[in-house]
This record gives sequence, structure tokens and C-alpha cells, in this order.
Amino acid sequence: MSKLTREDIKKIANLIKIWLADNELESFRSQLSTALEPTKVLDELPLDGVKPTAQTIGTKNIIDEDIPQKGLSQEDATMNADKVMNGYIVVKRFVKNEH
Amino acid sequence: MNIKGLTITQAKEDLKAKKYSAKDLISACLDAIKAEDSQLHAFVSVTEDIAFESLKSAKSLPLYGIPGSIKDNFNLIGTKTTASSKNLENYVSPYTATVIQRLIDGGAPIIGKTNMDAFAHGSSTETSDFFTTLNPWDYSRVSGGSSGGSAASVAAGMCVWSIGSETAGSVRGPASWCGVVGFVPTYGRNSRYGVVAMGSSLDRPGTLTNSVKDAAILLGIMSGKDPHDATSIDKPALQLAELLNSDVNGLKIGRPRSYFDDRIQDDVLERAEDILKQLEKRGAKIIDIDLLDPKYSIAVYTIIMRSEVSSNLSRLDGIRYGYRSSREANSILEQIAFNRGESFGNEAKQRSMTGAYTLSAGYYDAYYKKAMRVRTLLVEDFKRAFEKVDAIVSPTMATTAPKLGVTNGNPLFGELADMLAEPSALAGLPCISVPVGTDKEDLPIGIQVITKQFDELGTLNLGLAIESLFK
Repeated sequence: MSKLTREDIKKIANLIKIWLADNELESFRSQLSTALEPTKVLDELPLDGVKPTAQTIGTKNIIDEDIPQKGLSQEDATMNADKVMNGYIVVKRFVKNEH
Repeated sequence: MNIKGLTITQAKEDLKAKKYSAKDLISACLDAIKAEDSQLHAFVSVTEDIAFESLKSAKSLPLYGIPGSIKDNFNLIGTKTTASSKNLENYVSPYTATVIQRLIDGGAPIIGKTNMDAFAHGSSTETSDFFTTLNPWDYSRVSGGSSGGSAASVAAGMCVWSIGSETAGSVRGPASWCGVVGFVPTYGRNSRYGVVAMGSSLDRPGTLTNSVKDAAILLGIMSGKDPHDATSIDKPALQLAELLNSDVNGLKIGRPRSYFDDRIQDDVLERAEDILKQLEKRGAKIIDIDLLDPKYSIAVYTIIMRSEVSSNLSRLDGIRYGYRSSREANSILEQIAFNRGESFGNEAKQRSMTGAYTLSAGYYDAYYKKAMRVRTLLVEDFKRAFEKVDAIVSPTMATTAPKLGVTNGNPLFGELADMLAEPSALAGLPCISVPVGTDKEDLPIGIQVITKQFDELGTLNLGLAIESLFK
């Protein structure tokens, strides 16, 4: 487990789209390092042949019947958006004219 | 009218005997909120209209006229569901969580949405983006978290019951520190649909009540298969309230050595040992067992929870709902980054980033996959224990409620504080915290019972037995 750097923090923040100010980088580098420190103890345990557990209830492949059901109305689905026009959520243009 | 300590059972009897009316009871809760909540800060929003509206339902319904509060990560149509987060500060629920709808169908007056650590990322309620919920027993101390507002609202007599949620200790912890009963059934027993997600393989709706029987009553209304939640157990609602039995004669109770060592506050340890002795006098057999040291659970939980958090919080783009930054962005991805960067608190940021790291290429095997494999060891550890014993008893929390400010500068406070809850949380086992008196400083102590998967009756029965030691 290599030491975390400020560059690592920048990369991670970009991966999950959280903008950080430059003066926050060191604080998060330190916090993440502290958070991961206790995880070293897992190396003490024998894991040969041990399968991973994703969830404890063991359910798999729950499939719904293909029956149409009422969902949210367009009005309800968009009611919390910042800006709505003709039933659409208004966002910043991301398809450029050149394409 | 002071309703501190009032149970659902007692309230039902009182209403039947016309000791007071349902309207009086709701008003008493609202009065308590008006009198104390400006200091206590248990509530994010009070839903007076919704509470009184419930009186139009049938009087025969099980929760008619008996007010409860709900943690503000449960969607309730027409209310703000903020998860005590700046990001969702103005989010209005367009739908209702399944467990809440079932309670409302049961006649429940919902009195308000309670404060929590933002996105449930915490064990003190100090990391709410809005305000800290104080401990009703001592205003200089925290109420616990993340269901701190829920626990405090019941302890302070602002409602008779509350719905909280637990990922690892977030119901049991505040229950222990606020002196109320905190119950969480087997993972999958209560639907997660409509609950703001934290760790999807861990999250469990639970209850904060003034009695063990009340927990059973609420379970009977809330639980059961939900087609909206693919991880919900394929069984109907669990009706246990009339089956409870506090007789412990012949019961084998496990005392895990690693939950009873010098990491535990002296008088908490003493009280736990005393409870075990009293249970022994009533015919239980106390058996020392060895469970994997909680330090392994802290490591597993830190990785798995934070990984799942990073995934679950990725839906909060600020485009479809949630906080939108007014900063000028050059692209939609930059817009999203500003929205999240400006509205996520420190905990949301540091947990999401840790989780993204542990899931990322090159680190996934060393962290996330390894943690999932150790999780298998933990699950098997409990299975082996339950071949020898019927139930496990230990202190719920290593200490009683700490002073305000305890989370400052500690990025692992939550995971360390919930040390004794994390193993059973990772295994998804039913568990309950029962108040068992107070410590030297007059602060509540909680004892927890853990039983094997699907054995909610075992948990509630032993919880009832422990409760009866104090009545």
C-alpha cells in the first residue's frame, strides 16, 4: 500500500467529479492516509481459498414480471431540477456545433 | 403533558381509555418540540400538518394517534428529505419510502424529519451539515449518530417512536447514548426503497423506541418483502409482538472476550458483566467465546462502506436534483464537479474519495476484494459462534456519550466509535441495544444482543429479558 500523494488526491477527485480547491489537497491526502492506515491488519488473516461476500442475504437475479407500471409523472420527476423547460431539464450545452 | 418514556402499548391503552385524545397526544409532542428543540436540534423539519392529517384515518389502525419521527434520509412525499446535507437541502420528495408508507397506512402521525450526520456519514450527529443534535441527558454531549436526531427526539419526549437507519451502529449507537431501545432486524427484513443510500450491502432501516415490545410492534408493520428492493427477504411482515417471551432459562449466551477488554469504559464493562450475572441467576448459561477482534471489522467496514458510499453518492450530480453551483463551468462534467465540491461536507468528500481509491484499478484487489473476503471470514465466525450459543451479549458502545467536539480532526471517528457494532453489521445480523441504567456521570449505558440471521425473535426475547431487569 503505497503512500498517497497530492497528485493521487487530484486524480481521485477527478474520477468522482468532486471539485477541490488547491488548499484542500493536503488535508484530504492526510485524511485518506489516516483512514486507510488501520486496514493494514487485514494482511494478518489467512485468505487462501476464501471467496468474497458481496452481500449477506444471498439473493441473486431478482427479476420483475414484464408488466407496465406507473412511475413518476414527468412533472414529479423534474420538480427538483434547477431549470426545466417543456418537461426537459435544462443543462449546460455539451454537444458542440462543430460535431 | 410530558410524554417522556411513553410506549406505543401504553399510548394505545390510554387512547382507548380516553385518558387523552389523539389530538392531545400529537399536540403534546409539538409542544415539547417548541419548548426544547431550539436547543436540542433533533429536528430538521416539523410536519405538523401531516401529523394531524393522519387523524382522518381509521381509529382501529395500530399506530393511530401515536406520533413518531423519521430520520431525514427517509423519503416522505411532500416533505424535504435532506439527509442533513447541503446538497439535498431543498430536495422535496416526490415519493415515499416503502417502510414509511407502511407506517402511514398503519395510521402513524409523522411529527417530523430528524437530524443526522450528513448522508449518515458519522456516529455523533456533529457532522450534520446543519447543526449538531445535543444529548437530552446532557447538553454538553453528543447524541450519537447517525440517527442522533431520532434517538434524541424519543429520549426527549418529542415523539413516542422514531425510524432510523443503520449501516454499522447508526441505530444502536445513538440508542445507547440517549437511553432508548434501538433495534435493527436482519439485513433485508426492512425495505431500503426510498432511503437515501449509504452502503447498499449494509443499510438497514431500524427503530428507536421506549420499549422492546414497541420495536416488535413497528417491525410487524414495516417489515416484509418489497418488490422495489431486490435485496428484501422474500417473506411477509414479521409479527412477533404477541410472541415475546423473556424467559431465559436454558438460554446459552455468548460473551465475546474481545468485546469485553480494556478498550471498554470501566463502568460500562461493569454493568455489562453485572447484566450477564443477573441473566445467569435467571437460568441462562454464560459461555465465553472467541470472535475475531473488532479491529478487523473496522478495517473491512472502512473499505466496504466507503467504496459503496463513493458509488451511491455518484448519483448526486446536482443536475436532476440537488445543489447546483452558480459558478460558471466550461463543461457539464465541470458543472457536476462544482455542484458536488461546493455542497458535500468534509465527511462526504473524504469517504467518497477513500472509496473511489479502494475501488480503483490497481487497488481494487488489495483493498475492496480483500475486504470482501475478510467479510466472508466474519460471517463464518458468527455462524460458528451460533453453533455454540443462542445469542451474543456485549456493551453496545465502548463508552457512554462523549463531549461535543469529539469528532474534530478525526477522519476515522465513526468507524472507531462503532467498533462493537461493525462485526454484526457486516454479517447483517439482527441486533438490539437496550438501556441498562446510567454510569457515574448519569449518562445512559446500552447493552446489545446479537442473534443469528433471521432470528429476530431471539434478539427481541433476550432484549425483553434484559429490559425486565430494570423494571
